[in-house]
Amino acid sequence: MKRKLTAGLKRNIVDLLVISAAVIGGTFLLRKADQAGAGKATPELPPSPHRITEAPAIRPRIIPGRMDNFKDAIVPKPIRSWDTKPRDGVTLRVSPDSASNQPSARVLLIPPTTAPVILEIQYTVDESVINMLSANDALKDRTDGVTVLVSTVGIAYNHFTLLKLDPLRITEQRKWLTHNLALPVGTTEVDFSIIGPPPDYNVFEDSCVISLPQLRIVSP
Amino acid sequence: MRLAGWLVLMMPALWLLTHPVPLAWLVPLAREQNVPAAMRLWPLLLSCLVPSLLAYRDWKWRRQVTFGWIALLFCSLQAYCFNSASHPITNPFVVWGFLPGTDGRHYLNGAVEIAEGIGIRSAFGARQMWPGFLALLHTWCHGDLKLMLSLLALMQAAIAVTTWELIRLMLGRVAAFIWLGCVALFYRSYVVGMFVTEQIGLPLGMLAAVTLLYAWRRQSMVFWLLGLLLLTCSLNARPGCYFVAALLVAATFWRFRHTAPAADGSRKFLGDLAWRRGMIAIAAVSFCIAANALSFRHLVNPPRMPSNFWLVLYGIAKGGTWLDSVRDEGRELFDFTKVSTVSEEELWYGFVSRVKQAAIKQIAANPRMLLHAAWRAWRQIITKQTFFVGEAAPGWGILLLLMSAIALGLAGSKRNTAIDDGGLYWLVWIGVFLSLPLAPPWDSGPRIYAATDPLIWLTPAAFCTWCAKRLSGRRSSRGRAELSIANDRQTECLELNARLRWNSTVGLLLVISSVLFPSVLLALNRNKTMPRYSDLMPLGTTSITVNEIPGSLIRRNRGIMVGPEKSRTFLPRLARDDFERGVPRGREFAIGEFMKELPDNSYIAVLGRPRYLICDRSAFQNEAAITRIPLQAADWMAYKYIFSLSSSVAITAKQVMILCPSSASHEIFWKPAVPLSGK
Repeated sequence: MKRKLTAGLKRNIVDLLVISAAVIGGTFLLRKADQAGAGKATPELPPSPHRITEAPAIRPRIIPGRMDNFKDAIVPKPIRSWDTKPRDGVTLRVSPDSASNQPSARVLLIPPTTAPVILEIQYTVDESVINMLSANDALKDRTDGVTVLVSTVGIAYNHFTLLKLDPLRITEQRKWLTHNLALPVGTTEVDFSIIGPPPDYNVFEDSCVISLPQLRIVSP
Repeated sequence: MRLAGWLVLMMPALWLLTHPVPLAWLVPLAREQNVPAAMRLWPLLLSCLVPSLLAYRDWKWRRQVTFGWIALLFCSLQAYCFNSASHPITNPFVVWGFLPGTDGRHYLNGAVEIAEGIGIRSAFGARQMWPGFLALLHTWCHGDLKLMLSLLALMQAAIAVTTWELIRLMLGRVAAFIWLGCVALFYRSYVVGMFVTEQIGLPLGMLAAVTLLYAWRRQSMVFWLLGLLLLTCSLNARPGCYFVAALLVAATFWRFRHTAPAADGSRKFLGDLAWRRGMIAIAAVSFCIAANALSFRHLVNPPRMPSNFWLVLYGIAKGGTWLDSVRDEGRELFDFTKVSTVSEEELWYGFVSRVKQAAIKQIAANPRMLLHAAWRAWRQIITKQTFFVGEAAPGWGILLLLMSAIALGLAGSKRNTAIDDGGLYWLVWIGVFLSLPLAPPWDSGPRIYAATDPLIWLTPAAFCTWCAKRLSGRRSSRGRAELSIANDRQTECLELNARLRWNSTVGLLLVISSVLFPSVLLALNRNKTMPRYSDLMPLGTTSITVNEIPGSLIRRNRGIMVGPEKSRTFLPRLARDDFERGVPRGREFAIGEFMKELPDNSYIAVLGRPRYLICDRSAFQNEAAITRIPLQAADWMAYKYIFSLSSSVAITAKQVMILCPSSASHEIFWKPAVPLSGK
C-alpha cells in the first residue's frame, strides 16, 4: 500500500515537472518567436510627422491679425472691469437672445507664424455680469462656471487649451487672469469658444471677456 | 527522442501564433459573415476528424502527431484573431481581436489588482477564480497580453488532447470526433482570444466530464470525488447549471451502493445506499464551495458587490431579460445621453443592490414566473440547440440533439440494447433542465454553460459508441480473434490509467492555480513597491491627477499600433482599415470615433478599468517605452471612458469635440448610441 502511494506520488511529481518544463519552454519559445515574427510583420517606419516641436518660443510685442466671429468682423472695444484700466477686448456670451449670442471668436494671423511664439491671453468675466448673477440666487444656482476652448489651427496639426474660471464662486478669480499660449510654427488662426464640459454641458449665462494685448488689427 | 518529437510537432502551432500568415489560410476555420454557411462549419469539423482518422491504427508517433494537429487547430483560431484583428464570430468581448472589452476588461482589472497586491476592488459575486488564475498568468507574462492569449490557446489545446484521448479510449474514435467537434465549435465562438471565465470554465468542465465518466463506468470512488471537485470548481469559475453537481452528488449514494443482500422493501433500499461515500462526496463538494468562499473573502475587497444573478432573476420575474432591470432600475448607469463623472463601479454597486431587493420582491409576488421561465428556457434550448452551438451550425446542432435524444431513450431500453452509462447521461440532462429556469439561455447565450456542456457532449458521443459497437459486434463475430481483442483491451486499460492520472494532475493544478496560488501572490505583493496600473485607475472618481505614466507599465504587446491603410495586419500592429472596422462601439461609441481620428503609428495601450493610453511613436525608443510618458492636461481626462493622452499626441478638432463636447457635438456623438452589450 505504502509502496503504491509512493509510486503514485512520484509519478505525480514527474507529471508536475513535465508541466512546469512545458510552460517554461513554451513561454520561452513564444517570446523568442514573437520577436522574430514581429520583425517580419513590422516594416521600417519613417520618422513620425506628428512630433511636436519643442523649440523655444519668442514673445513678440505685436502680432498682426484680424478678428471675426466666423461670419462678421469684430473690433475689440475698451472694457473696464475690476477697477483696472480699460483693455481692448471682445466679449463671448451665451444668451437665449440670438442678437447678443456670440459664444465664439476667431483671430486670423497675418501672416501665419514662422517660428514658435507666445500669445498672451487675458480673460475674465465682466464685473457687471458677476454683480447681476450674485444678486439673483435663482440665476446663480443655474450657472457652474465658464469654460473657454482655445484652439490654434495650424498647417500640420491643432492645439487645444481650456481656460476655466468661476469668479462667481471663487473670489480670487475676480480679476483679469492671464494665460500664455504657445503658438506652433505655421499657426494660421486662434479660435475661442465657450463650451459646456461634461457631465452637464451647461453654458447657461456663460460669458467671458478676452483681451489680446499683442494683437494689432490690420485692415483686409 | 520522444520529447524532441513533442517539441518538433508543436512547432507549427507556435509558428502560427508568432508569425504573420496569409489570412486566407485561416478564414476557412472562422465563422466569417461573407463565407457560405456550410463553409463556416465543415472545414472545422473535418479538421476535428483528422485525429480520429490518425487513430485508426496505433503507430509510434501517433500521440505526438495528434497533439501537434490539435494544437495547430486551436492555435489557428487564435492566429485568426492575430492576423485579422477581429474575432472568428466577431464577439463583442474582444476589441481588435486582442484587447479585452466589457466583461474581459472587468476580469483583467481584477487580475491586475490581485497581481499588484491590491485585491479585487470590484467584482460581481464570487467570480474571483478566473481573475485569480489570470493574475498568475499576468505576472508570469509581465502583462504581455499576446503571450497570455497564446499560452491560453496552448493550454486549451493540451487539455483537448488529453480529454480526446480519454474519450477515444472509453467511447471510441467516432465519439472522440464528436467530442472534439463540440469543443472546437464552442472554443471558436466563446473562448478564443477572450479574457473571460469560459477560458477556465471550459477546460475544468472537460476534465470533470471525462473523469466522471471513467469513475461512473468503473465505480471508482477516488476519481468520482475528483470529478465532482473539478465540476464544482468549474461551476464556481463559470456559474451555470448547479443542479448537475447536486444531482451527481446525490447519485453517489446510489451508484456506489452496497451490493450485498439486506432486508426487504424500503429498508433494503435505504440500507443498500452508500451512505458513507455519499457523505464523503457531500463533504468534498462542500470543501470546494468553502474554499471558493474563503478565496473570495481574501481576494475581493469589501464592500463586495452582489452577483449579477439578481439581474437575471429580475428579468425572469418580469418575463423578459436582464435588460429589464436596467430599464427599470438603472437608468443613470446606461444613460448614453449623459457622461457621468461618478465611477462605473459605484453605479453598478448601487444598481445591483437595488435590483437584488426588487428581484426578490417580484419573484415572491409572482412565483409562477419561474415555471414560465422554465418553459421558455427549455423551448429555446431545444429549438436553438444551444448546447451544441446551434447558431453556428444549425444542421450539426439538430443532428447532435437528435442523437442525444435517442441515446437517452436507449438508456431506458432492454439490457442488450441499452446504452452504457445511461444513468449518468440522464442525471446530467435532468440537472441541466432543472437549472435552466435560473440559468436561462437568453441573457448571455450558450457561453454560460461552459462548465456543464462537456458533460452534455458525452451523450451524442455515447450514441456514436453504441452505433459503432452494434456494427463492430456484427463484424467481429465474422472473424476477429478473441485473444487479440483481450490484448488490445489490456493495453488500452494501461493507457487509460496513465492518461487519467495525467488528466487528474492537470485538473488539480488548474484548481490550485486559481484558488490557492492567487492568494499567495496577493500576499507576496501586498506591500511591495512597484509601479501599478491600479494607481492610474482610482475607483472614487474618473477625473484623475496623474501627470505621467511609468514607461515600465507600457510593456510589449500591451496594446495595438495603428499602421497605414492596406498595410499588413499582425497584432499588435494593424492596418488602418482593420483598425477602423474594429473600433469600440455601443457604449464606447465616442471613444471609437475619437480613435478613428488618430494618425498612423499611434499606439493604444490598455491600462484597464476603461482607460487607454494613447501615444505616438515618440513615446518609444528602441521598441521600449520611455521611462515616464508625460500626459496632456488633466482636463482632457475628465471623462468617463477616458484616455490618457501622452503630450506627444496632437489632437484634432473632432477629437476635442468628443473629449469636451459642446451641446451641439454632444447631440452628434451620443445620439447614435446603440443598445447595450452584455455584462
